[in-house]
Amino acid sequence: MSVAQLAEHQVVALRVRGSNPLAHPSSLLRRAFLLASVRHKLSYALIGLVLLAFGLWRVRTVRRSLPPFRETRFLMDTAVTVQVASRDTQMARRLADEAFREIARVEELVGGGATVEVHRRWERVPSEVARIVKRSLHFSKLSDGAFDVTVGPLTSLWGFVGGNPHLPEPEDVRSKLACVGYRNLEVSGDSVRGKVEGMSLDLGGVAKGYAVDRAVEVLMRAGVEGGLVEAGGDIRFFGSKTDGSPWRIALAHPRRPGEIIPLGDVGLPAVATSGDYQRFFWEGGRRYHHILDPHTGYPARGAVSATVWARTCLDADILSTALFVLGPEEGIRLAEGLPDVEGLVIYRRGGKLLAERSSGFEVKLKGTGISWGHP
Amino acid sequence: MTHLALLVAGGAALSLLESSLPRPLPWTKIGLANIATILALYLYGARPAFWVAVLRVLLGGVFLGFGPGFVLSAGGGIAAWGVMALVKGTLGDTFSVVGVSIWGALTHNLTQLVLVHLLVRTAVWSLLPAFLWAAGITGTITGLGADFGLKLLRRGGTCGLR
Amino acid sequence: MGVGGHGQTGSDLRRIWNTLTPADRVLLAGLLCSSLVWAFWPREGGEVAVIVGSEGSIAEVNVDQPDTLAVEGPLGTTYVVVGGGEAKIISSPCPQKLCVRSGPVRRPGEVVVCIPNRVAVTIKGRNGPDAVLR
Repeated sequence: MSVAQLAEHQVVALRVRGSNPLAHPSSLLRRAFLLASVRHKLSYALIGLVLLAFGLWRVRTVRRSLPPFRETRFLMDTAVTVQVASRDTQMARRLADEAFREIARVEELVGGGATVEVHRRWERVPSEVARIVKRSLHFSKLSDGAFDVTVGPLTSLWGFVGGNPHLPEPEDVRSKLACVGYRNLEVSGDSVRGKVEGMSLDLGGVAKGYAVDRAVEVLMRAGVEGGLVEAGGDIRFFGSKTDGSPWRIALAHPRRPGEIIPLGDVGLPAVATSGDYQRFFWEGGRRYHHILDPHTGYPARGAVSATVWARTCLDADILSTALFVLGPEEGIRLAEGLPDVEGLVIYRRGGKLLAERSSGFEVKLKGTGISWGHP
Repeated sequence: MTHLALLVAGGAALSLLESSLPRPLPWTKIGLANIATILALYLYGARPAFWVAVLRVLLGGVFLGFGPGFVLSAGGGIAAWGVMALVKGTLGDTFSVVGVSIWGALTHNLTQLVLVHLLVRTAVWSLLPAFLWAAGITGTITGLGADFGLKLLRRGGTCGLR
Repeated sequence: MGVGGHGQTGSDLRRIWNTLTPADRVLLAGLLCSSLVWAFWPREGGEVAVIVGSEGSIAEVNVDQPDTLAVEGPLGTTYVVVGGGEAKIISSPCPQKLCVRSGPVRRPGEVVVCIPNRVAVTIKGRNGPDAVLR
């Protein structure tokens, strides 16, 4: 065709003139254009385009690890993330692995999230389990049973452990309620026993907090600059990141998926949240969440979420459940009365999201759609 | 009539084939099945082509189920028919079968993207370049296939477009 | 059609090119060019989405680069769409579909998890929190 002939002619002309195309970008461009318009080159260009098309179909960029080292695994029925701040990536990786193994060990220890049966006669339990139970009883007394580790029969009845959550019959709830009560549980050394038949311990929630504590201790012993372990709604950290900046924690907005509320530093290393949005099911057009009120046998209605800072993640975990069940007024009163504990309770009143906090809890609610109950 | 039935069956068969091809988003298809619509459009006109598009989508649904994939298939297939009929009717001399097919693929893919957005409400718009690419490539492939098919079917005539 | 060496392929492609009208060519070129420009247009951000499966972290992708990842889990395939600065699970074989309903993750530290199918998507980056209480 004439266009092609013209093109070849001009390429020859360029070559005759002997200009260096690199010295003149415009002439390089022209030359490239002319070359491209030469007919038979086009078939190759087309092949190239098709190849590029398939390349572009899956564009993925993989970037090398940014500090701190971070890994997530599925343990204790949730996604557990371990972060290690260390310039030695190899060591960070090894430590994270060790931390995960510690969490897996605790999971095994408490029976993988199932409830633990307690009988009328004294029975030995692993000493760590005894420690968790003693701590639980301590807070059960302080919260007047709002948190109760003996809630096991109810959690099993509702199907929140081991599988199929469903609304139970009211008479079943009533009969199981008789088996619940921290006052009926006795601990002595590493042995436990129940004063009534059919008792069981729900260690699922608290064991998560305990496992986070243990995993963090693994990292601390190794002497790295900092570390953070997160399991569902439980977080504990120490030290700082490799650049010396502090760990920053945020709270997922209880009603707006994807939105977060940054939390200020309060000088405590562990924080946990209990929320009605974490685990729930629908039945008969109603939503039932997993935090049961040990007094009623039904999901606690006083709060949307409760967040607690404490010295250990075990304490934070237990207290966040207690504050959730107690609701804003009583819950915050409990937190105020305890040393090294700060709490925030988000709740619903008259269709609006409100929040109540203890005096040391640092958080800004501007732009979250949540306002302070008592400004 | 038999031709139209064959086109419907062929289009549905291509839908089945497509559903096993890789895709940028679940439920989406690259639109090879539009070849049936194009052939009907060029051989019989816009109205029969519409029925071919509708019936091949329905037949595909019978085999693949009437889930989100069916919604996307129906939306994409019918929108593609609309634009292709429009382009062929108004700019039939400017664009060849391949050009009309590219318009169809473009419409097909954009409609699917809009429908996915409505279904899952997320930033699928970032996948637009990939969908444009796919439209260019599959539109050309489908168009060339249709061109070849037309020449074959009009055998004995003027041997199609040149 | 043509099977054979380079020359044969070339002539086939030439025949294909010849069947296109000028308008066809402009349309095709415009489509391919605009998608290229769109795909490679420089953008702000550059956070990284980490996709975690049952065997640990399986992929790290730039959240600004459009991509769809199929993650195999015990129940089947979970689809994760990345792009436009966010990542989202858009399809999952799990019964409750909480992961699909929980929306996209954008900021570092945010996580969307499908417990039944063992898939998690988190964002990591230099800005934003290091961990989010869920």
